[in-house]
Amino acid sequence: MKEDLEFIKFYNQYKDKIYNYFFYRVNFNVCLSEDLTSEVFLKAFDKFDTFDRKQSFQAWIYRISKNHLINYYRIAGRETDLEKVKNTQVDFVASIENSLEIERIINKIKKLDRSCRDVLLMRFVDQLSNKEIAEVLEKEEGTVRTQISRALKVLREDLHKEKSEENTCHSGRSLSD
Amino acid sequence: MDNLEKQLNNMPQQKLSAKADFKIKGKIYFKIWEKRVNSIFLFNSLFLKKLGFALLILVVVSGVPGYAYASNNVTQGHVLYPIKKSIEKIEVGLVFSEEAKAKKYSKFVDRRIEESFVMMKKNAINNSDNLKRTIDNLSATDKKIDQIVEKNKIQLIDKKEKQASLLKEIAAKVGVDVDEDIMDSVALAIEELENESEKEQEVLINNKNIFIPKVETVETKIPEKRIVENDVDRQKQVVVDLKIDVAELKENLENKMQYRGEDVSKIIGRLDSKIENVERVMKENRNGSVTGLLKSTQAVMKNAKHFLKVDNQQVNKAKVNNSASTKDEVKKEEENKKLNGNSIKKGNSKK
Repeated sequence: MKEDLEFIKFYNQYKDKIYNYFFYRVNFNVCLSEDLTSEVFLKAFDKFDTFDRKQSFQAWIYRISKNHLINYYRIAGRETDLEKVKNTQVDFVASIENSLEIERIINKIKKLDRSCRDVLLMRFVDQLSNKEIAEVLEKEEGTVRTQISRALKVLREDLHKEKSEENTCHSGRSLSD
Repeated sequence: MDNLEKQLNNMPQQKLSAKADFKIKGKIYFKIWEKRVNSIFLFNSLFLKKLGFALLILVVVSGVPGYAYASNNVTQGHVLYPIKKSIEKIEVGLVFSEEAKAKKYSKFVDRRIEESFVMMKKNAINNSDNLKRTIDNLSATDKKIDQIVEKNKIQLIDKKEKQASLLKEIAAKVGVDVDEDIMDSVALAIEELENESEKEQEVLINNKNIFIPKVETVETKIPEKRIVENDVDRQKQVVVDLKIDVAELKENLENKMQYRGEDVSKIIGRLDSKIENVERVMKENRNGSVTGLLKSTQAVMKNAKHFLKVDNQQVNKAKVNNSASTKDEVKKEEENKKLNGNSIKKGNSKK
């Protein structure tokens, strides 16, 4: 009885975070994110007896979510190509302010290496601390810090490159005019 | 904190919708109730089965749950669909023998097919995730049947042929313009229904076989490194074979006048881009994903023609051409006969 109430409490606390976690990783697909969130919490409920109260519930539920996402792609028998731009992203991006800039950043993040992409999203979108990310991924905090700074560096360079290419294009046009 | 980090920090945070929250909480509370019932009547499974049976009767006799259970209009994404699935679970839980379980699962496969047809009538291609999940569920249920049949060496009345042909109808209805995910799901489901059990597939040691044999028939074990290299080589060979098969398929489909050229180009284009994707993933050494991608590519290739719509104009043209050519042949024959007949008469008159 106590355990069940405790689980409901955790569910209320983390439901939005886990939903957000999936939302940014399944191309902003609302239905799929909801389904995956539901499956993760039901899985967590089944395994709640084995949950060690000494560790953080947040790290635990994120770990389950990460594994569940990997299983989803494996069971489906194919990998969803995140390079494909579907309507879900367009709808999502159109609904937010500074959408052009955000869209640019999102497209660049998608092209990053999977592990870099994951830590970057966990740090800035899921807003976990380096320590929390290290707990989820079962890595050293230093490793996580290095991966994040590497990912930011690559992202910054890519965005800078894109901007300078655009500027060259514009100045080329104006000269020809 | 620089501008980029500021922007990243300002990425919008999404919240779970109230409807989804309500559904998930409902499922959790149902599980809590289930857990309590189980713990109270832990040693009285027969009582549970009787209770389940009584519940099932109640469900059938009562209103909304009865509708949810019986109606094909209640499909994935419908508010009552979780009730339908829960009742199916109870149904399976109530049977005693493995054979009866397999029959139940076979019934569920039929249901998923019917639901797919209903979703297509409702133009559910726009809500493609639900259709994809229904078909994936169908494949998973069929796998369960295969496992039970194989493990218990039982024989069921084979409905797979009929189920596969219904899925081919679905393929024809969704066509070549459908989302890649749906096409993969349908193709894999047809493969699943048409294949014998996986073990029999493993026995076919052909180049095109991508399954690694589970049973080690060789006495000396191959060291691990060599196994990895063999898998990679095998995968590369499969890709080479796939390219050849796609080229052959293109030729075959183009020669058959019954399909629209545009559709044939689209499906071949899809297959080519799937193969490119496999090669890209292989280069990135993501071996775990390669098997799944190869499987779905092979499934789509084998079942490509089912996604093509028959072009009736082309079929009629072909028929007309055929009949015209046979008419010409008949005319020629008659003319030849006349000529031969005249020459015989002339010969006779000279005599």
